[in-house]
Amino acid sequence: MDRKKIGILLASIVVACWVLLPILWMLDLSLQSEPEIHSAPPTIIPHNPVYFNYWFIFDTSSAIEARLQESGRLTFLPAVARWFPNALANSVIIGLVVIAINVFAATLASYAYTRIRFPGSQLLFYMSIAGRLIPPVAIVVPYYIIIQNFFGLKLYDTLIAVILVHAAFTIPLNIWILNTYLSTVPADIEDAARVDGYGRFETLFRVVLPVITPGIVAVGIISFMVSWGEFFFAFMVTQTQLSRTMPVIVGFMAAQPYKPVGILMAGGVVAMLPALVVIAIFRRYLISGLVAGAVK
Amino acid sequence: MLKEDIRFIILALIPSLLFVLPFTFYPIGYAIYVSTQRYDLKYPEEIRFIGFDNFIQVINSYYFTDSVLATVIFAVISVPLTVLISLGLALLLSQKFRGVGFLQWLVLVPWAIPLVVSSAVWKWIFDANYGIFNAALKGLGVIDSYIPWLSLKWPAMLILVLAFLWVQLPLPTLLFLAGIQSIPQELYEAALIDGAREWSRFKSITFTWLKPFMLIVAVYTTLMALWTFDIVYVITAGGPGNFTAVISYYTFSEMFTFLNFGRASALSFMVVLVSIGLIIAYFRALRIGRLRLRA
Amino acid sequence: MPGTRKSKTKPHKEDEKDVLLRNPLDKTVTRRAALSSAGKLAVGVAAGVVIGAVGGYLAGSSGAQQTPQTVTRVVTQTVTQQVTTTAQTTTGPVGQKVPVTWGIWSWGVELVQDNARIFNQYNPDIDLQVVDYGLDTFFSGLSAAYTAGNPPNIHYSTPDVTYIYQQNGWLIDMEDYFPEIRRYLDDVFPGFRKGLINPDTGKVTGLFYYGGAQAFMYNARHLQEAGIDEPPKTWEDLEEQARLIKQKGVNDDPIGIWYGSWGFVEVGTYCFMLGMTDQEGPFMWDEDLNPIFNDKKSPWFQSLRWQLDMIHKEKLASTKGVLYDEAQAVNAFGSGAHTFFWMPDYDLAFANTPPSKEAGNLRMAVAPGSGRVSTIYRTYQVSRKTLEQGRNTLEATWRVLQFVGGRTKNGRPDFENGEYFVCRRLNNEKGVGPIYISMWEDPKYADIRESVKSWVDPEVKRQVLFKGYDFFNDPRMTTWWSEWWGYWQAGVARPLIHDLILGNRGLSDDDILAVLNRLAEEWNRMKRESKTGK
Repeated sequence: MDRKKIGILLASIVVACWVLLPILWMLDLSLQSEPEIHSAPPTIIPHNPVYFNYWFIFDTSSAIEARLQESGRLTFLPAVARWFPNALANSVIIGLVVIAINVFAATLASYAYTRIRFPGSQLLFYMSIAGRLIPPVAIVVPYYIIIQNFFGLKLYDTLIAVILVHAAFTIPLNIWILNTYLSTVPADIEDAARVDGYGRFETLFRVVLPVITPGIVAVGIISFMVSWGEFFFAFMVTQTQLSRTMPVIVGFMAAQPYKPVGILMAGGVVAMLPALVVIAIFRRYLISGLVAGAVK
Repeated sequence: MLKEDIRFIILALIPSLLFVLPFTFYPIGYAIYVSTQRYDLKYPEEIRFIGFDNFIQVINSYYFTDSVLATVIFAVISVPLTVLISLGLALLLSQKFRGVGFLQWLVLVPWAIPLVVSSAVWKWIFDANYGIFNAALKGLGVIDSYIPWLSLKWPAMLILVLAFLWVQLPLPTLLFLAGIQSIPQELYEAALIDGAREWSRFKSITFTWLKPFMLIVAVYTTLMALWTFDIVYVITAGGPGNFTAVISYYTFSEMFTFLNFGRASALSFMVVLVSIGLIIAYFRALRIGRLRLRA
Repeated sequence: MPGTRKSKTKPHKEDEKDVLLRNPLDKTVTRRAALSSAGKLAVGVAAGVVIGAVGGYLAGSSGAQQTPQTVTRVVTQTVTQQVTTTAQTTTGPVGQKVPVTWGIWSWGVELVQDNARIFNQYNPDIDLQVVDYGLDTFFSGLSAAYTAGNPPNIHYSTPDVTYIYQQNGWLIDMEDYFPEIRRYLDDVFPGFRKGLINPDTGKVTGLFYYGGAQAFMYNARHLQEAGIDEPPKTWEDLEEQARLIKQKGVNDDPIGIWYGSWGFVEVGTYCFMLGMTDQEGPFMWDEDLNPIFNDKKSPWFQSLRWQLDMIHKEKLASTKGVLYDEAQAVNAFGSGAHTFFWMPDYDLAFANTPPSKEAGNLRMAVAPGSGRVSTIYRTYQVSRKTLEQGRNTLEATWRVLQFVGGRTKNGRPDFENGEYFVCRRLNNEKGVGPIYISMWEDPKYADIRESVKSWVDPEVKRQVLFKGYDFFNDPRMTTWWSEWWGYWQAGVARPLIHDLILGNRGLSDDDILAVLNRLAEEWNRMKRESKTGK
C-alpha cells in the first residue's frame, strides 16, 4: 500500500509540473518588461516585477498615455486591448448561457434517445451528433448565412448569435456523452419509479438526474470551456468590438505586427481566471455522484 | 407506445434539434455544393459548376501528399498519446488522496487559456534566441549554443504534439473521470471477493466499462488532430519547409489566402470522409457494433 | 513595363476602358449585370460578405455598410457626362452629406479614425467613414467586399492586390478624371514612381499611403565593441566585419537572414539579389513568364550561394530566421540577436525606440554592394464603384484621396500651398515614412526630419530612398504576374527554399541548381495547366 501512495505522490508531482510549468512561465513573462523578456539567458525571477502589462490590459488609455510621455511619440501597443474587460464579460455571459442550454437540451434529448424506443430514434440520434464531423473551416460560411437569416431575427453581431452558434457546436458532442453515460446506468430504478406512477419528466428530474450528475457536470464544463476558447465562429458572427468575445480580442492583440509578448501573456493570465472559477465551482459536483452511480 | 411518451419525445427533442438540424444539414449541403463549383473569389465572375474538378485538382496539387503525410504523422503520434495519458490521468484522479480535488481542478486549467496565448507560450519556450528550453539545456551543458528547434523538422513536429497534448488533455480526462464515476462499486467489491488482482480488475471492469467513453475520446481527439490549425499557425506556420503543414493548414490557406472556396470545401470534404472511415475503424477496434442507445 | 505583355494579353480590356471613358453609365450597367449574374448564386454573395466579416470589423462606424441598392439607383440618375471636371470644393446643403468609405487594415486604427474625424470637420458636405478589414484578413475581406458589390470607395492597397484588382477591372485610374494628379509624380522618389501607375494604361491610379525600403541596418554598439568604425560598403566588408564581431565574442549570429511568412520574397531573396548587382533587374522570368532563374549565373542562384556559405560554411549567420515572422524579426534585431539586418524601415522605428532593448543603438545605412534595396510601398486606390456612384462621390473621393495621400490646407485640396497632412502625422506619430521627396528636403517639413532623428539619420534615409528599386512592377521580377503565383510561391518555393537554406538539400552548386530546376519545372507545369496561361 505504501508503494501505491508513493506512486500516487510521484504521479501527482509530474502532473502538476506538466500543467503548471508553462502557466508559471506565462505568469513570469507577464511580469517582465520587454527588454527583460528579450534577453538571454532568460530572467527567471523578475528583479522588479513590472505591472505595466496588467495596467495596460485594464486601463489601456492611461497606460498608453503614460508610455507616450515616457518614450516620446512612437507607440506600438495593441490598443485593441481596451475592449478586453468588455470581451471578458461577454465571454462569461455567453459561456453560462451555453451551459444552461446544453444541460437542458442535451439531457432531455439523450434521455429520450436512450430510454424510449421509438421509430427513427437511431437515425435521429446519428443526425444529432453528425454535426461535429465537419471541419469548422468548411461550415463557417453557412453558419454565417443562418445567423443572418435566423427566422428573420436580427441576430448578427449580437451575443445571442454567438450563443446560438456555440450551442449548436457543443450539443452534438454532449448528447453523445450523456447518451453514453446514461446507457451505463441500469434502468431498473426508473422502471420502478414509473410503476409507482411517476411520469417521464418526473422520473427524469427526480430519479435520473441525481444519478447522472457527474455526466451532466462534465457536459457543463465542456460546454463552457469550448465556448470560452472558441475563436473562429465568435469572430465570424460578430462585427463590432462591443460584441466581441475574449478569444477574439486576444487574437487581435496577437495579430498586431508588433506583439509585445508581456502584454499578450498578461492577457492570457487574466483571461484564464474567470474560467478557473467556473471549473472550481463545477468540479465539486463531479465527484458527488460517485456512490450514487451504484444502484442500491 | 404511450401517448405520454410521444408527448415527451417531442418536447424533449425539440430543443436540441432546433439547434442541431439547421446547423448540421445546411452546412453539409453547402459544403457539397461549393466543392463542385469553380469558386475562386479572386475571379468571382467565373463561378460555375465543374463536377469533381476541385477534388482532382486538390489530389494533384503540389501540397496534397506532403500535407497528408504531415497530418498522418501528427495524428499517429498525438492521438494515442492523448488517449493513453488522459486515461492514466483519470485513473490517478479517481483515487482518494489528499489534494485530489486540487489536482482535478488543475488538469483542467490549460483549457482556460486562450489558444493563441498558450501556443505563444510554447513557441516562446522553444524560441531560438530567448527560449528557456535552450537556456536550460545550455545551463546543463547539453548544448554549446542555442538551437533553432522550430527550424528543425522533427523537433518542430514534436513541439506541436506537446502543445496539442497540453491543450487537448482536459476534455478526455474529464470524460474518463466522469465515466469512472459511473462504475458501480459492487463490481469492484465482487472482484475483490473473487480475489482478482489489480491489473485484471482494471482490464475486466474499468476498461470494459470505459469502452464507450474511449470511443468518444478517440473520435473527438482524432477530429481535433485532423483539424489542428491554430497551434500550427501560431507555432510553426507549417514550417520548416512544409513539414508541419497539415491538411487544415492548407484548407485555411485555400480559403483565406488563395480565396478558393471550391478547393477548400473539397479538401474538408475529404477530411470528413477520412474521419468517417476512422470512426468505423474505432467501432471495430473497440468491438462496439454500433452506438448503443440503450443499456 | 514591357509593352509586349500589354498588347498580347489585354487587348479587350483596353477597348473596354475606352468605352468606359466615354460613358461611365454603360459600364455601370454591364458591371451591375455581371454582379447580378454572380449574385444569382445567392450563397456566392453571402460567402463574399462572410469573408468580409472575417476580415472586417467596422471600428466604430456602424453606418459604413450601406445598403448598396438605394444608393446606386439614386446616384445613377445624377451622373453627368462631365465627369472629368476638376474637383470643386462645392459645399452641399447640410444634411445631404456624400458618404465616402475608406477601407483600411487594422494598423494605427485610432490615428485613422482621428484623421477621418478631422476631414469630416473641414468637409461638412462629406461623411467619411472608416471600414476596417483586419490585418491578416485584409485581402480576403476586401476581395469579398468587391465580390459582394460593396467595396469601399478608397482603400489601402499593396502592389500585388492592386495588380489583381486592376486585372478584374475593379479599380479606376484617377488620372482619367483628375489629370492634375500626375503632378504628384515629380515629388516621388524615382524608384517608387511606377508604383502609382497602372501598367496597362500608363495612367496614375492613386496616391501613396507610405513608402520605404527593406533597408540595410546594423547594430552600432556591436560594431563599436568589435572596434569597427564604419558600416560595410561591400559584401566582402560585410563578411569580414561579421567575422570580427563573432571572433571578438560580441555576437554569435551577426548576419540576420530571415524569410518571413511570405516564404521567399522580400529580404531573403530580393535584398541580396539587388545588393549584389547593379544591373537592371534582377530578372527571374522572361517576358513570357518563362523561368530563367535556374542558371548558375542567375542572381537568385548567387544570392542563395552566398546565404548557404554564410550559414553553413562561415557560420556567420544561422537558420533561426527561417521561421521568423515580422514581429519576431523586429524583436530579434531590436534585442541585439543580430548585427546586420534587412527589414522594412518602419520596423526600425519600433526596434530603435524604448522599451526595445537596443533602443538607440540601431542604425540604417546605404546597403553594401550596389546600395540598392527593394522598395516597399502602400497606395490608396479608388474602386470603380465610386465612379458608378456618380460625380459627387467621385469628387468627394478625390478630395479624400488628396487629404490622405496628398497636399491639403485646412482639410481642402491645395497642391501649391498645402501640406501632406496625413502623411506627416503618420510619420510623426507612427514612424511610417513619407515617400514624397519634398518631405525629406523642404524646410517646411523640418519636423519630419527632426522626428525621425532619434531612430534614423534623415539624410541616410533620404539616400536609401533614392536607391530604392521597385521590383513589384515588372513581370520579369515578380511572381504575381501569373494567376498561379500564390500556389507556386507558398506551396512550392517556400518549402524548397526553406529546405535548401536549412541545409537539407546539400550545399553544393549543383544542389542549389537542382532546387532551382525543380522550381522552374513546377512553374512550367502550373503555367501549362493554367487555363488562362497568364
